[in-house]
Amino acid sequence: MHRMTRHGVFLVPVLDRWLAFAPLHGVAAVVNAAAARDLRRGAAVLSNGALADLGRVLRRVPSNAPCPPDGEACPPLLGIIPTRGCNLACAYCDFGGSSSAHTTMAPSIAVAAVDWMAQRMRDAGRRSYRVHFFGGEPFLAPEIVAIVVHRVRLLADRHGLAPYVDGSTSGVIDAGVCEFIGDYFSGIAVSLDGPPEIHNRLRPRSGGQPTFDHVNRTVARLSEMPVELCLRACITEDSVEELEHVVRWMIDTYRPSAVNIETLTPGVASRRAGLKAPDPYRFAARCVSAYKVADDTGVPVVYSAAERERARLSFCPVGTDAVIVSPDGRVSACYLRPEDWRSRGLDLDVGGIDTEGTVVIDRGALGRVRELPLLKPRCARCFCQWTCAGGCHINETYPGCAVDYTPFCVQTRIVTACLLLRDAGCGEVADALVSDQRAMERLACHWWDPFDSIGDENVPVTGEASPVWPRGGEPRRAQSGSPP
Amino acid sequence: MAARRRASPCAERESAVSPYRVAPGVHWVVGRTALTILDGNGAAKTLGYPEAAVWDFVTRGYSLCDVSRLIAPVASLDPPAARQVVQAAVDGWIASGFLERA
Repeated sequence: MHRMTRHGVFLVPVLDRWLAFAPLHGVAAVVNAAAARDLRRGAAVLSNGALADLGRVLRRVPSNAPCPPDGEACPPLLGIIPTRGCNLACAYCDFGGSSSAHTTMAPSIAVAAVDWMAQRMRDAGRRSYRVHFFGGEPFLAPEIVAIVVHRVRLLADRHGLAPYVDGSTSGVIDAGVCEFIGDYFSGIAVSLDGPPEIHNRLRPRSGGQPTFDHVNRTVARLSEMPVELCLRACITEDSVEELEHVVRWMIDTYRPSAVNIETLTPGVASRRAGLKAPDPYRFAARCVSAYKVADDTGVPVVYSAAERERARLSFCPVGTDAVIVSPDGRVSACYLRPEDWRSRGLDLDVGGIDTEGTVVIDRGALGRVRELPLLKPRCARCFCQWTCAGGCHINETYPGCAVDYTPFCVQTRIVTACLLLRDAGCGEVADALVSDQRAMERLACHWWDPFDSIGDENVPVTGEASPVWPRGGEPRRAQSGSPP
Repeated sequence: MAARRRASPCAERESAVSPYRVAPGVHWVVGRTALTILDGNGAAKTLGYPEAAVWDFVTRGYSLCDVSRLIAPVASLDPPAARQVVQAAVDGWIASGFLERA
């Protein structure tokens, strides 16, 4: 498969105007049709007149172009899956956590992984050590979590690294676990889909009992503790119209550090439960309103595909050299189940932990995973190629996927454009956009966003050689190693 | 961490519940890679690793047998050495007045 051609500057239609976006330059601007025409005509026009300032910025070699990792694996994070088991049976979950064997990681595997990561961080001259707990429900194996946390802290102290511990949980955990999180975690994401009438329908226990009251107690406890608390809501067709209400309620009730909203990923379980993903246009409109609702509170709302803080090559840890260790000692690039990625013809295992407790990384497999974010034909024409970066490698932009935009692309393109408009001080344009279905459709379905004719510096960006993606010399990594 | 409800491999040999409790007036603060214990009179003792982990497990209610079992992988110690480290730490904290028998 060919690597996608990446671009540096984009124009997307917004009502009767255009949004110019140069993610590698950190520039977004709203221009009228004449200016958009001039931008496409290129350097000569941009040397003078009203667009001269913009032209000067776009001619610079961008400073924040991410670069795929090379050489020895140098993970931005160590992922630990203490168990795939889960005490919940969420209506949309295809992880099989409630029915899978509750195999727990052996302490020897956990320690081998932690020790290997510490050595890599030390050898690479990193200053921090990030470990993230994935599930299942990681706190069903609290002793493994505790062993990992303390081993990380011991080694961080020994090697002069700053430990950064975070993870995800259903929130159906006891008070003692909450205290442990408060004492030792920097961040925790709790899945909470909304008030009881929404949450209990979507996220029951494996026996069917409601979980809202328990999660409510957990979140209330954690909100009093010195930990970055992120509340994560999965939005469905049934809950999308409540999105602003849900976000406002979460912020008012719990004062979290952030609210993360994501849409349901359709699968076997959700189809069986009669659940659907929201209409992407409705979601985009409601999502933008939710961002507005949160504005006054100072609590950030995050739709992860529309993150604009820095350009990225991959939506998730895949391709960044992050390693995720399963309970059986497999070392992978992705926390999803192997059967999920195998169904797409992918193998995301990059190594394993042998019987001697040694982490063995397969350089060939690592190289193949590093290539994965570069193989996104669908993204080549999209202005979100450096922000969304294609979404999930398994569920969205897997090898051989159609090049047509999906509902995920539609909502992501609209939300990203609106957030860029807000960043550029044009919030009223964003409001008008999400009030106009035809304008949203025009933006979402715009066939070709890139343009590449501003001066000599803006040739198409490819994986091998380009002014915005330097190879050789001092490599610039996609992840700096500093925790977010 | 849920120690009291856990089936413990130590249960037949000793109580699965910690025989120690934190002395009245004693508090502790978890730092970046260490832990500081403060008594009611303002005296402070900073614990590095592995003692910081021992303190954590003891104060969460684990029996000494379970603390030793957990400390072994944390500190890369064999079981007898782990037991020794745990016992020595606990004895020191009792002598200093940070812990007392339950």
